[in-house]
This record gives sequence, structure tokens and C-alpha cells, in this order.
Amino acid sequence: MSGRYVWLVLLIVGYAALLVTYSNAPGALGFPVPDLAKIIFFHVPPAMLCTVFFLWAAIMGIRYVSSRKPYFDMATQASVEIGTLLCALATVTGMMFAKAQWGKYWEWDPRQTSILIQLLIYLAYFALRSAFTDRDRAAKVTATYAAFAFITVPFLVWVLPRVVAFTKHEGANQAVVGGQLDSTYRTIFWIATVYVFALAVTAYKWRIAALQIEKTREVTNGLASMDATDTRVLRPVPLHSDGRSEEDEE
Amino acid sequence: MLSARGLAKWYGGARVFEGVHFDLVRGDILAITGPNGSGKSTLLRIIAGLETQTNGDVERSASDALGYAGPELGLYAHLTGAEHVSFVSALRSVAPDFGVLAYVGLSGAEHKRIGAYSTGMKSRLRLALALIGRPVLLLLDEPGASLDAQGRRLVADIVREQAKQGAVLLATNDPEERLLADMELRLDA
Amino acid sequence: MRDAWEIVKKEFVCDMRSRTGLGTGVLFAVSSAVSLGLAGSKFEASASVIAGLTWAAVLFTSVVAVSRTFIAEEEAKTADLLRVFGRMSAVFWGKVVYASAVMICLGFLQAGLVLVLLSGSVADPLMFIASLASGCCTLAVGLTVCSSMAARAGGGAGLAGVMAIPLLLFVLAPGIAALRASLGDPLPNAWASVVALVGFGSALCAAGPYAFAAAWKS
Repeated sequence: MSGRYVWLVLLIVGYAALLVTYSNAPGALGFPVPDLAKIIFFHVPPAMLCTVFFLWAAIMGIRYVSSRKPYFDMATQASVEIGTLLCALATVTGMMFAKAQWGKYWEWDPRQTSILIQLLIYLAYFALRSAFTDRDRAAKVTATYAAFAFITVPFLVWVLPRVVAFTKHEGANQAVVGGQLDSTYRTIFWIATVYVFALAVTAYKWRIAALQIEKTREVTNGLASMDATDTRVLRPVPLHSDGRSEEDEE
Repeated sequence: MLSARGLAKWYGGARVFEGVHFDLVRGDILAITGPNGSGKSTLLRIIAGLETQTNGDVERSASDALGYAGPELGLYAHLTGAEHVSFVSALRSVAPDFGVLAYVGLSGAEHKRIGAYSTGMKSRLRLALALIGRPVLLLLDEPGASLDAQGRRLVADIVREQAKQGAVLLATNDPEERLLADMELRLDA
Repeated sequence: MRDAWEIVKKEFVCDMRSRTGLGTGVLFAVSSAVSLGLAGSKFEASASVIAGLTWAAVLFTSVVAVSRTFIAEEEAKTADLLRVFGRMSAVFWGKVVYASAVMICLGFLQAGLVLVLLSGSVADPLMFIASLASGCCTLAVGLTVCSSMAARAGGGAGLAGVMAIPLLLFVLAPGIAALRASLGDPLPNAWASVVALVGFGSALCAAGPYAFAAAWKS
């Protein structure tokens, strides 16, 4: 088994062990139903980390547009894919969390709304990418979209909750960010966050490696179909008034 | 005036052309020839900034105006020929000179909408638009393809006149048009 | 700036003669307002319901009326004409100005019709105008950028809509809040919603030219 698989198995086993260890922990304070608050280990890390991946996608997108190096396009694509996966996880676990804490799967809470909108925004990335036939153009335009789409994130995360008058996340936010969790709970929460981040980064690197293999295969196939004159340099030749070129004379 | 260094175009895994080098100076007329699918139009579109190359560089002075006429250059069906001249002149920041329409043989059709133009008339209008602002570099993609004998003579006149003030890049498969050039770049070579 | 103004004039003339963009937009705005009026004819709609329905309708109208701006140019290959002869910034701002003007006309037409058909009334005209105008301009900028990207993909207005609607959904929250306040719903800090709309629109305007340039030159 290669090192990377050992690393993945360690990550998964470690994360599972953490969850099992904590299954007997007391309920978290600050939540309407403290005993059912443990889902934050599944819900909050993906919700936080998807934004990190979307930011990374924007940075990689800008670097691709300015440099045209294929690596940055692959990095943009991989970041959006992993970010979208985390965003979908956060949305689904958020619905379960809402049902457990507030009694309804969907409350149109600003945080629920913003994560759903983010999910839709980044799903559109895939619709856009699949619409192209020219891959160079697809890379450039989708990299641009990844960067442009990130403009909405600060508005969804910080402005939307202030515009919409209510939020049910207040108690949960205070519990997680405001330090109302007891120290064991808090420690486990941050370890879980690091674990999810490590898992996501591993998946990101694997995805880039897969995209690089795809790209190499595509270029190799293209070259293989060409004849042996591939490397010839094409230059103009003088043309005589009778229509013969110097090449014809040779 | 214009330099191409190692230009290459690939669509996915398929190569169109590779390793194209040339330099154009004032007075040059370069014919780009080759069979269908060899990338003549694509090369012109790359130089015109309508497509991006996969590899290589195009160096051109930003102050040199560029004129382009190709069969795929769209025209607004609801605008007239004169309105096209006026619109393109405004985009180029020059005063409109409607005489260019007479020069390309569109006298009497200035105020007809493009929807009523024939294919040949559209080709003539494209030539007229390419000449607006006296471009230093003129790119012509199969300029005589849908023109009658008089239209082909017009193309020859335009090319020769242009060579006095700048350079011409001509993508063609027509033997007569090819003779207008003093250099040839064969993309099937 | 003169060349950007020429683009605006060209858009207007082509629209008037072809009766596609603005004409379709007007018909869609009217028919959607009528359907909302019909749906709400049997109950007394509150300010929040009217505001919500109005903004949802304006969002969809914007997709119908504006999203084809670059798609039509690419389909007719006239985008190449603009690329060869026009400055990129002139093309972008010309399109944005025309799209904003169209959206302001359609937005006010639609909001007015919804108000009449659902028996609403405006309590704060200044906020009504400010929220609708800033929201419509923001939609126009976002849709112009998305249209330029979808057009390069060879996608239709559907693709532009799929991209633009989620990107512009944020507009609904402050738009609805400000419109509710203008219809008499007592909301604290309603002007903050207008500020949020203007802020979002400004951010799109700041980044829009760069995003457009990358798509336009691809």
C-alpha cells in the first residue's frame, strides 16, 4: 500500500475514532437541544472550509487568467469541486441540524440561505464548463467565473445576516465562536476541523494529479496522431511573379 | 510592424498548425495558403485577436490600426450599410467617410438594411469597414470568395494600395489572389 | 466615452428595429405581473408579499430581457466585429448602460403593475425609486458579465440564467427589505438595505470589466 493510501486510511480512522470517543460526551451548551448538537462536527467544518476552497479557487483562477499555466486551471477546477462537495455536505447536515434543533428542515435562516446560494453559484461552474467545446477557452472563462463568483461570498456571509432581520444561528454561533462550548467539546471540534481540512486537501491533491494524467494523455494522443514533420518550422518563402515560390524551385 | 514567433494552435488534442514564424514590414504582402482545415483563417483570427494561440507570440505595435475582413465577420441585419460605416468610424474614433461605400461598389445600397444585402454585397461592406481609419495592417480572409470579376479587381486594388501605406496578410486558395503577394506561407508544408 | 455611447445607440436602434430584446422583455414583464395579480386576486397581499413577488418577477424578467445581449452578438458573429473595431471597455460599459436602462424601465413597469393588480401603495416614494433603480442596475451588470461568459461557451440564454440567478439572488434580500419599507412596512435601518444593494452593485461594477475582459479575449 503506498504512502498516500496509508495517509488517507489514517485520516478516516482518526476521524471516526474521534467521533466514537465523543459519542458519550455531554450535550453542548448554547443549543436548544444540547444532546443533539454533536452534528456540528459534521456540519460546521465543511461550512467553514468550503469558503476557504472557494477563495482558493478564486486565487487560482486569477493566476490562471494571468499566466495561462494549465496547473492553475486544474487547481481552480479541483478547488471548486472540493469546495462544492463540502458546501453540499454543509447544506445537508445543516438541514439535519435544523430539524434536530429547530424542528424544521428549512427555516430560511440567513446562514442556511447563504450556504444554499453558494452551492447553486458553484454548481453553475460545472454547467458553464461542460458547455464549452474548446478546452483552452473553457479553462479561461471558467477560471474567470470562479474568481468573479467569489465576490458574492462576503455579501452572503456578512451582509445577508444583517439585512435579514432574524437569525436562529445566533445561539449556535455564540456557542462555537463565542467560546461557550466546554473545553473538551471545543478541542474535539477544532481537531475535527483540522481532520476535515486534511481530508479535503488530500482529495484536492489527488484530483489535481488525476487531471494532470488526463491532460498528459490528451496531449500524448494528439502528438501520436501527427506525422513525423511535427517539429518543422513554418516560414514564408518569396513568391515570383509567375506564381512559383522558392520552395517549388527546390 | 508584425512578428509571429512559433505560433501554434491546438483544439484539444488535435493540432491545427505549429511553428509558424514570420515578420511583416511596410510594403509586404504575405499570402497564407493551404488546403481546407490547414488553419489559414484561424491564423488570421489569432493575429486579429479573435482567437488565442495555444503557443507562441504575436508582436504588434498597439498604435498600428488593424483592419480585418473575413467571411465569418458578422454584420447587424437591422442596420444599413451607412450606419455600419458610421458605427465602426465611431468605434475607431475617426470621422465617417461614406465615400468608402462607393469605393467598394455599394453606391445606391447605402441605406438598405443588411438583411437585404446579397452575400457579395456583404463581402464588399466588410472590405469597406476594414478600410476605415486607414489601417496599417490589413488582414483579408478569402476576400474574393463570393465576389464577381469586378469585385476581384477591387480586392486587387485594395491590396496594392494598402501595400503603399502598410502591409497585407491574405489567406487565400485562389491562384489569382495568391499572385498579388510577394511572399507565401504554406500551412500544409 | 463616445464609442461606449455609440454602442448604447446601436443597441437601442437594433432593439427597436428587431423588437426582440426590449419587446420580449416588456411582454414578459406585463404577462408575469398579470399572472401574479391573478394568483393573488383572492386575498389581500401584505407589503412583504408584494415586495417578494415583485423582486422575484423582476429577477426573472432581467434574465429574459438582458441575458441574450452577448449571446445574440456571438450567434450573429457580430461580436467579432466589436472585437476587431471596438475597445473592450467601451463594449462593456455600452452594454451595461443599455442593459441598466432597459432593466430600470422594465423593473418600474413590472413593480407598478404588481402594485396596481395587488392593490398595494407606496408610502416612501424615494426609497421605492432608490431600491428598484439600484437593484435593476445591479441585475443588469451581473447579467451582462454572465451573458458574456455564457456566449463564449456557445450556451444559450438558459446557461446565462443558470449562472446569473444564483449570483444575483443576494439582490433579493436587501431589495425585498427596502421595497417592503417603501410600501409602509415598518423596518429598522431600511436604508441600510439600499446601501447593501448599491455596495453589491459597485462590487460587480468594479470586478465586472476584468471578468468581461478575460471572457471577451478568450
